[in-house]
Formats: sequence, C-alpha cells, structure tokens
Amino acid sequence: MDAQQPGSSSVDELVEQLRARVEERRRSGAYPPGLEHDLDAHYRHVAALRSGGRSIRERVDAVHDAAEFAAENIATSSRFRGGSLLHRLVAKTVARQTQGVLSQVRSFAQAVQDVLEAMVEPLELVDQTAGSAVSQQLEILHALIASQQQALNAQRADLVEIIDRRVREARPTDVAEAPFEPWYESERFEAAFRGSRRELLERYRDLTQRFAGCEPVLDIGFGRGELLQLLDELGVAAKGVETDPVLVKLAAERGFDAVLDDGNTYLRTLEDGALGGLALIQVVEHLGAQELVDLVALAERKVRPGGKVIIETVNPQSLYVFARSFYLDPTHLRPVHPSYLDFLFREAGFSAVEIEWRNPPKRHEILQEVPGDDEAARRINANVANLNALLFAAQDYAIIATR
Amino acid sequence: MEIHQIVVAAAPGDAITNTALEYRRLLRCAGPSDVFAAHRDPALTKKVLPLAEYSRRSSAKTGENLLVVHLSIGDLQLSRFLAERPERLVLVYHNITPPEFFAPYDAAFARLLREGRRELARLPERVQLAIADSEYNASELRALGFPRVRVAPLVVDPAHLHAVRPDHALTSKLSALDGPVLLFVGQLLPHKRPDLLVEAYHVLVTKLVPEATLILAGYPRLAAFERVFVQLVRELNLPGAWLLGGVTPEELVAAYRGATVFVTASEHEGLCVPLLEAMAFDLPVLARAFTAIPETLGDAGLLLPADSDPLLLAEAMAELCESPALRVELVARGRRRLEAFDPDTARAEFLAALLEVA
Repeated sequence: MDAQQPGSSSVDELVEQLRARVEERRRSGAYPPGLEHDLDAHYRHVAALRSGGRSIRERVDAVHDAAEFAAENIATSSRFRGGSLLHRLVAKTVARQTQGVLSQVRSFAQAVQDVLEAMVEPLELVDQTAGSAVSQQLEILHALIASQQQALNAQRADLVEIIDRRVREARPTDVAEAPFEPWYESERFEAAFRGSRRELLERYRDLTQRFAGCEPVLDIGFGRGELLQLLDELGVAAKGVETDPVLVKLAAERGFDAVLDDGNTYLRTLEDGALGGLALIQVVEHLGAQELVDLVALAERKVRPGGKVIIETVNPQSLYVFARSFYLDPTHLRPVHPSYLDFLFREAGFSAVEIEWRNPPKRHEILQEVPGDDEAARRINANVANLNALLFAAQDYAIIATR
Repeated sequence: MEIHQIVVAAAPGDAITNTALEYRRLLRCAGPSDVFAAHRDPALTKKVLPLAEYSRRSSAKTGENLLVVHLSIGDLQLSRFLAERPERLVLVYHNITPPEFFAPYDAAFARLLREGRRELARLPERVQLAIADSEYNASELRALGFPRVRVAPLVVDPAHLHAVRPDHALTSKLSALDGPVLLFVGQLLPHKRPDLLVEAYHVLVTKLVPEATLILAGYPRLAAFERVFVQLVRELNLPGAWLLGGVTPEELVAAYRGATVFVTASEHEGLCVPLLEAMAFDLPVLARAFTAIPETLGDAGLLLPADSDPLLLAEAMAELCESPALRVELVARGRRRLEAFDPDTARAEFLAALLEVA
C-alpha cells in the first residue's frame, strides 16, 4: 500500500492484487480446484451433523406469523369501474359482521396456537434431553475412538519395531530365499555344469528302471527332461512340472507333457492316490525346510500304495561335494542329510525306504592307499579309508521310498 | 422528572449492560437514575434493579419520567411494561442480530430475536427519540418509520484496558511463538463467522504461512454452534488455532498485546467494539465489508469485499503477516480513526441528544 495515498483506492488496489495472487495460485495448482467449495461443503456437513435440523418450534413460529387476521388485509381493489368503491361500501356495511367473524377466527387461532405451544414445549424438552444425551454419548464414543486410535498407533509402532528386528535377524535366510531371476538361461547353466544330455541319460537310466510299473510318474523340476525321456523310452506315462518357463517350453517342444508350476502347488491339485511314481532329481536342495516336509506329506497322499518316490540329491556327507559342486549352483539353499530324508519318509508312513549312493568321485581324485602289509602301511591305509569316507564319499544319493 | 434506563437482560461483560451503566454514571450527575432489567444475572443484583420495581417508585406515579430503552431481544415482560407505561421513551438501538443466523442452531433464541424485531416495529409511535450508535443502525430505524433518529457514538474507552496488567501465562505462551499471531475477539456466534476465519486460517497454514497462530477469544454463548465449530476446528486439524473461550480482562489485554493482526470475518455488527480496541492496541485490522464494519473502520484497516471467500481472506492474512510496511500504515490510520470515537465526545453527544427531549 502506498503510504502517501491513504484511502479506499489504495485498499481497493491491494485487494485486486490479493485476488490476482489467489488466481495465480489456482492456476499453478497450489490450490486444488474447488478448494473453497470443498471447505464450505465440509462446514455444511459438520453443521448438519452436529446442530440438528429445522425444529418444531420454527414451524410453530411460522404459524404465529401467519395468524395476523385483520379487516385491513381484505383487498378492496377491483378491476371494474367503481368496483373498489362498491367493495369499500359493502365492507363498511358488513363491518360489524366481518369483525365478528374475525374475532371468532382470532379466538380460534389463539386456541390452536395455545394447543400447539402446549404440545411443543414438552416435545422440545424431550428433543433437547434426548439430543444432549445422544451427543454426550457421541462425545464419549469420540473420545473412546481417539484413545483406541492412540493405543493402536502405539501398538503398531511396537509391532513395526518387532518386525524390523525380526527382519534384521532373519536377513541371511531371507537374502538366500529372495526370488532369483538370472539373466542367463537355465538350460545354458545346466549344460555348462551338470554334464551333457547324453551323460545324464546314462546316469539316470538305472534309476528310471525303478519306476517300471509305477504309472503315471510325476517328475518335479524336470530340468532338461532327461528323466522324462528315459521314462518315455521305458514306456511309463509321465508328466513334468517346472518353475522355469523356458524349460517348460523346450520340454513341450520335445513332445513331453510339461506344466509350468511349483511342485507342491501342483501336487495339491491332484486327487489323492493319483500317482504311481514321483521323481525329484536334484531338486530338494533348492527347497526350504517347510517346503520339504510339505512335499513328503503330499507325496504320502498323492502316491498310491505300492508306488514309488525317488529323490536324488547331493550328499552332504561328502565334503568333496562342497568343494566341487554344491556352491556352483547359486539357487541351492541347503543340502538335505540322507538320514533326515530317510526319517521323513518313514515318519510319513512309507513302507520301505532305501538309500542308493551315487556318483562317487573319480578314482584318481581320491586318496590312494600305500602299498605294503606292515603295521605302518595298515595304519596309514586305515586313515586313508577314513579320510576318503569323509572327504570323498559319493557325491549324490537317492532315496527310493515305497508307499 | 427522572431519567431511568430499561434493558431486557443484564449480564456482566455484556456490551448493552456496560453501556447502560456508563450512561447511568452520566445521568446521575443530573439526578436520580437507575437501570432496570427484566432479567438480571445474580452478579448484578446490586447494580441493576428488577423491572417490576420501577412501577413502585414514587416518581413513577405521575408518568412524567423519561425512560431510555435499550432493545435487544423480545421479552413478554418488557412488551407488557412498555404497553402499560405512559412515560415518554427514548430508544437506544445497538441493533438486533437477524434471527436467520441462529435458526439452524437455536430456534428458541431465533424466536426471541424475531420478537425483538417485532417489538421494535411497534415502537416508532411511542418513541420521542431514537439514538443509534452507528449510521448503519440509524438507517434501519429510519426504514422502520422512526421519526427522530440521531447517531451518537457508543462510549468506548480503551483507556481502562490499557490500565489492566496483561495475564502472565498467556503473555509467555504468546512470546514463545515463532510465527505471527492472528487475533479474533468476539462471542463465538454464527453471524461472526468464526467458521470462515478458521477455514481461511487452514489455507494460511497449509499453503502460505505455516508458522501462524490463530487466537479466538470470546464466550461461546450457543452450545449447538460451539459443537459445530469445535468439530470443524478438530476436523481441519488446526493445532495452531487456540480457542480461548471467555477471557478475563487480563487475558484479553495479553492477547491484544501479543497479537500481530486483528481479524474478523463477521457478517453482522451494529458497531463492533473489538475493532476499536484493536486499534487502541496498535493492531492492524482485517475485516469484511458488512453492516456497520466499514463505517467503524473508516480507512483504518484492510477491508475486504463482503463476498470474500476463505482463499482471499487467507491471502490478506498472509499479506498482513509478511508486510511490516502495511502493518505500520494501518496502525497509524487506526490511531487517527480512534479520534472519532473519543469517549468524552461520545458522552457529550449522548447527553446532547437526550436534552432535545428531556
């Protein structure tokens, strides 16, 4: 404002500047569209909720206002010539009667108003008492909700802290179990480290024989589908489940019955006793502890009596495995001890459980005995045998459980 | 002949009661003078007499006294009294709040206001002289057909507030604040539009001046409206809006001294004393142009158009908070404006008006 020119014009100018600023804020989006209407609507909403509506008293007041009876209120004007004069003459002539009627109407109106008053007062009292009781209860509820909210907030803060702590504590496991989505193709990985297709076909030919007469077989985690091929060659109907879509596609292209799914999830969809055989070749070392026990329980339900479950996995009793192969696969979670797996199948009620040691280290890799038959040679060779058992036991084992 | 005053309801802190007591002090210089009320607050039973007592006065026998009537709300007792008494009447009109403001919250009180206006409409023939404390009030009286209407400013004497020691607790709370303090003084009633004020304040702190504080000092006389208002403040989530309720003179002075700006969004004022008090405490004033507010403020204040919404109010609040030059200018104008409300001049004008008929 210009201090040299006091007066309404400078105030008007300032008001215009202020208006322009409001418009500018609207345009820039600082004020959301319809802000002032939203505020107004919000106030009306609160007012309607908290103050109550038009009262009976107001309606009675309207009756009061309408009860102004007077002869002067009777129109004497007329559209006809001399009509107005005639009206006034008639009005004057019957003034006594008119006043009489008006007086009766007034008395009647007064009586009606008295009755209404008598009715409204107790009603208002009830309204006010009930209204204040209700609003009191609402206040109590409001306070209660607010305190509950505070308590909840406090509890939530506690929970968040507990969860945070647990997450921090459990981080190593969580990191290992986090989804792993490599940019390379699984088939390339398998080809590089598991051996050629031909080698694998040779390696599993004998194991596949154990499924003879156990139709149909479900192969969970079929990988490149070697077992499916061997089963096909054996004439045993089989189906494969895999979580890797590329591998599923490749298997389907080779003509195998392949499904993209998680093994346990797929098993749950099957009817009990639907399977003659279940195979998991190099799979359980990828499972969590809970998934493994669930798998065994599901196998017990889905494989019919006489059927077979064959699980081949790395052998943690061989330290060689950890030096050479186990950590090659970044998706390996933990090796499963053969005694534990044996225990699981027996606990689940399988009739027979046998363990087959497979894939021993090559002969030139293990410790060699020393020649001779003297005491020293015998001791050394006994130690060599102990060390070989510890270091160079079979790299894999298979559990063959009969339902 | 004696001059006595009649009010409907006498209560401590009520502007009409205070005016009547101020006038009594003047009138007693000339002779016996009392204030009679149809309803009296227990705190005032010694200062104000019951209306029924007037007729028992020996001076009332002849009917030659002059009665100064302060009309506010309708009252059956007062209506009968005025209808029965033969005395000449002088009306002092401070305005009657239009009942529409109250109808949604308190139908009974709205009815009393409506009856007050009906009573007013019956008076032109009885009244020798009508005194209005603002031109706005005078124009209402003329429209109702009062033949003799005079404007005499209300006796507003902020000097007595300057003598009051500010409340220590409120003063230290206010001095601990970082941001500007906006102050509203007035009863929390619908026509004062405190709802609009907090909506504007909501915009101010969310968009423009986050550190601002809003103080509302005034007694909430209407429970239903108070509920609505408190709920609104709660829902708008305004921890910086302080609802002080009724305040002591010490707290009022602390608020005036600690504030940066005086704000009101009121839509109906017969005069608006807090505007003058704010000027007396060197506060710039922000208001909207309704009823008697423009003539009370004159050029001393940032007067927004009547249709100003919360956004414009918030923008004006921000401007006043952030422009020291504007505040200085408005404070200077406020001091000049107060000269028109010199209390001694107001007293003289009231007496001069009475002399015309006494």
